[in-house]
Amino acid sequence: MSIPLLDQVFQESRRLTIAGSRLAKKDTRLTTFVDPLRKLAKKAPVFDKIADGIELLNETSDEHLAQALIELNSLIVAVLYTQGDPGVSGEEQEHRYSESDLVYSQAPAKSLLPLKEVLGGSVSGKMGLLNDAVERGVFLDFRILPDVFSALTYASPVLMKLLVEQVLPPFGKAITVELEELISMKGSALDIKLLKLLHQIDPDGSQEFIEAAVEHGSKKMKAAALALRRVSDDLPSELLEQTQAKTKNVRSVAYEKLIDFADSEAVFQAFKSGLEGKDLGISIDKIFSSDNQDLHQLAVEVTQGFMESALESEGEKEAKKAFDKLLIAFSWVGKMKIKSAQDFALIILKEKAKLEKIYDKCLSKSKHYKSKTYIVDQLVTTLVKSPGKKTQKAGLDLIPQISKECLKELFEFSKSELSVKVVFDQFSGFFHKPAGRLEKEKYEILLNAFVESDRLHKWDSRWTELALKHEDVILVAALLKKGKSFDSSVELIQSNYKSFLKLFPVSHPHLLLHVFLGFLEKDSGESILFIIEAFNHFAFGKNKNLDMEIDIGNFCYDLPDEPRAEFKKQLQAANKKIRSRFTNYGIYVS
Amino acid sequence: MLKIDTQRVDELAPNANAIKNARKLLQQNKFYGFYISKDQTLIFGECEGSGDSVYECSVDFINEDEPISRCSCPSRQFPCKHCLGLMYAYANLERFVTEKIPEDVLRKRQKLLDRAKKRSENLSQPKNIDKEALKKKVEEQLAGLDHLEKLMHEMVRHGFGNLNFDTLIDLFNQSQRLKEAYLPGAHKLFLSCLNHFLRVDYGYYNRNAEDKEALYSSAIDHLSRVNSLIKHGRKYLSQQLKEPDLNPQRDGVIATLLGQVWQLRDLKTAGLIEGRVELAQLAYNSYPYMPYEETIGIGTWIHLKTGKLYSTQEMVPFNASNQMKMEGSQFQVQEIKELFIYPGDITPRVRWEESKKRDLKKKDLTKIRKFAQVNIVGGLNDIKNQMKAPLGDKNPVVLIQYKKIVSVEGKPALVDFKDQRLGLTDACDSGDPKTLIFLNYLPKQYFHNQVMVARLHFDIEKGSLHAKPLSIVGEDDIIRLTY
Repeated sequence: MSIPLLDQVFQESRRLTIAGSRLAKKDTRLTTFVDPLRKLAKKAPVFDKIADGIELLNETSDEHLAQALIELNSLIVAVLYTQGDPGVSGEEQEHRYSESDLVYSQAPAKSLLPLKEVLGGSVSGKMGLLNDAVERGVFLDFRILPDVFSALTYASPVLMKLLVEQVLPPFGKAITVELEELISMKGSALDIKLLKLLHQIDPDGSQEFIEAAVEHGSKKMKAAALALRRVSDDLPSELLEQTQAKTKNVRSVAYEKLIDFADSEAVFQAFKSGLEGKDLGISIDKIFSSDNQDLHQLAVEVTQGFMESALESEGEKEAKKAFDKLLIAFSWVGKMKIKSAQDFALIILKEKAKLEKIYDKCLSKSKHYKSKTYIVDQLVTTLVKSPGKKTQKAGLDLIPQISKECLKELFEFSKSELSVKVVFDQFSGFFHKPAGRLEKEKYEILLNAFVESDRLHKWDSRWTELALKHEDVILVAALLKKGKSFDSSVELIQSNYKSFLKLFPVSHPHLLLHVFLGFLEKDSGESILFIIEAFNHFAFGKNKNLDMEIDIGNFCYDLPDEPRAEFKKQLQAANKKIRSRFTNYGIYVS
Repeated sequence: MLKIDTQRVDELAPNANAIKNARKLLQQNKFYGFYISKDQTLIFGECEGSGDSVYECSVDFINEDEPISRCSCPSRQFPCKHCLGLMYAYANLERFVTEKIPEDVLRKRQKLLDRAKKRSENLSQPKNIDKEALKKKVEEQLAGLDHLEKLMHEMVRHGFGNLNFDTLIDLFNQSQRLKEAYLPGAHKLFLSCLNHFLRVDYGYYNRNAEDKEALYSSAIDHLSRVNSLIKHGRKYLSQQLKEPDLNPQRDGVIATLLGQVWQLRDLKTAGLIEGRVELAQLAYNSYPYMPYEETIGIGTWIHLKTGKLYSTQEMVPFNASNQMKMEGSQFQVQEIKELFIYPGDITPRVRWEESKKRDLKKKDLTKIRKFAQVNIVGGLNDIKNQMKAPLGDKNPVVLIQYKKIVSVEGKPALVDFKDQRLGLTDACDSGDPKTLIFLNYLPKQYFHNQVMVARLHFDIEKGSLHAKPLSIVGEDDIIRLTY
């Protein structure tokens, strides 16, 4: 059968269908095919029918033109269907495949479809559904990957984090091609995350792409790529060159990589000039995180030099530069473990007064002047975090001198790093009845830090004693809020519950319930007794308080199963008056 | 011991949100108690509801393969999250206490039995035909076909290239009359033609010139089908007008395409039924069909004894998606008591009422792989002949054995054991999503000596036949590429 002729006829009838059947009558281009079709019809009669169809199109009335054209098309299409060629010509190559033997689980459509919907648009409760799907392993199905990739381009930071950190990594090397296609050299947050992922799943295979990112990427991309780039064991002269790069991020990464080659003299010199020059901030942190003793010693010596410059500085500009450098360098050196660093910390402490004087003298009228306590704040912050006991003690002793801004940071640090005893000894002074405005502000800062603390944090029991002594209701509530480390404090409060209860109706009745919860976690038997006593106190005592009574009554009604049983048991033993008052709150005992 | 595992419960759930919520109920210990009947056919319990309410939920496994969930909550989802939670609890080996079956469950069981009995009686009774009503209906259908012809002529008179958005919307609105004329099938066929130009998701107006040309050719193909349906439909309906007792089975395909609603009784009467059949699902795909505002789910199944391919269709309106459950992908073999087969040629549609499920075994996969076509060119000739019929299935599903999958000038192709090639494509008219990308994520072993479930696609523009991969049947599993 002559396919080329049939194709040509189809092209013409198709052209007329696109243009409109009104133009189909006596179309010359189509009519020219009638004779060749008739000739071919001797071998295949179906061509006769097609020729008839064309002639009908020429002869029919305008009204029937559309139908005639459709009939002709139908006939040609039917013949074309029998001619379909499944062959594909060309050279064969291996198809891309996943190097992993793992076939990812095939989740049911019912699980995948909602994910597709959620990833494709703004569906409420999105993160809940996605997190649940991650938990159930539904995302371990390659059929959801196209939707994940397209969602990445507009994903919120939270969604992006989930997709990049939890959904994509299990697919490993199977998705490296897609990742490379997705990453743009512009270096958006997504690009950098994906570049890191690419390196994570294929550290060797991704090096070529990483090289390209170093070459062609934006500043951010280049910096990210440099951090991931593999460095050969030979001295990386390129890295040394990059310590002179214009972009700070690039220089920072170069220092980070050079740490591994610190034994080399050239590298040592590069760090020396970095510390002394414009790269102090981005090179000293790398030295601190390394174990290289020589570099640590270098940092100490350079910092000593900064101190000398600061002590000798006279003009505003000179002093600003010297103090900035000194304080940045000391913030790292003071935390170094080598002996010379700790010795230097004590030396600088001795020079504290002189340094403060020079700072005030040179900068007090400048816009760069921070505050009167700036030097002591900076020194104490570093000293308290220093590894040496002597230096740390020296720092802690200076806490009363520091500013309120610095106080909270140090309190948080001490709380998590130092013993409960030290924390009480160093900070309890702020909880005495504050006299001046500054003292009051410092007290409030610490109190807030107390209230916001993790409920499982362990405190020295003397805190409760102190709080009760000063009738500090917020501190008491903060200390006992569901806490579990207050055995002695609880006993203390239970033995003095009347004076304790007096605290609450004043301004913070709701805090009492928090305290009750704290008690219940400790020991339900003792605590229940205490709660009943408290109810009695507010219902019938001298300081009757209906609001408080209602709060406690409702609290008892909502008690969980275990303490509820204990509560009922103890209530049975209570006097009739109390039992009958509890019935107002739906609690009955026989 | 009931056969319930978490995967099965996932399958029973109406949607992913229900799964999430059910699991949350368990995590939050919202159930007051878990109970099981002595005969282990019923699990039940009480679950904390909103406010003070307590919901009584139960899942009845009297027919273990089709559990019935009952709950006193107001949810319109079945099973609701409480019943799902109950099943998850059982699957997670929570302790279930043996209890008597509640009275109301026993009553409901009896009602169910009565209803099943009645339905079975109805199935065997001949259908009463209201000849007057039928005549009226057929006349309306004939008038509908005339209307359809007018619309088709209007399209061609305008010319495809001149169809602007207003004309298309006008044609779309006018075509709605076909639904009222009992011609939903013809309506869908016309819309599929109109959709070539209307579908916003494909961005017709933004397409490049080459794609537009392909679209015109495909639209011509669809219009030829509409034309053929009008001709054959008229003939069939005129005949029915003369003989009201005419068995629709005689021209079943035409009747189906026009939109005949087949009741199981009709299929049974027409003898389109097969007893004791085992079917395994080879592929499943669901997609939204915008003109009808419904989600369509198409399953492709294989008869484990004969190798014949069948399809199932589910249609759920968008606004009922929360209440109506789609069966979705099925990973187990269905042991069907009575299989009802709709009229059709290559992959006829099927339905069943009762079935039991069993795991798909390795020997089933071996059997399925044996049914595959070994010779691509020779094997597809018969199918091509059926495809050429204007009202034949233009995108039939086939099972092809291949020696390897290769890349030919950047495009994937199957190579059979006679080294003949069949190009693979993403193009398809049936709503299947793109699947070629997924080949990249498969391990190497799936590229050699395997069996592919594929949907054929004929590209009129290029005169070439291609296959769209739907699944790969391996020796140990079926890798599905659609869902």
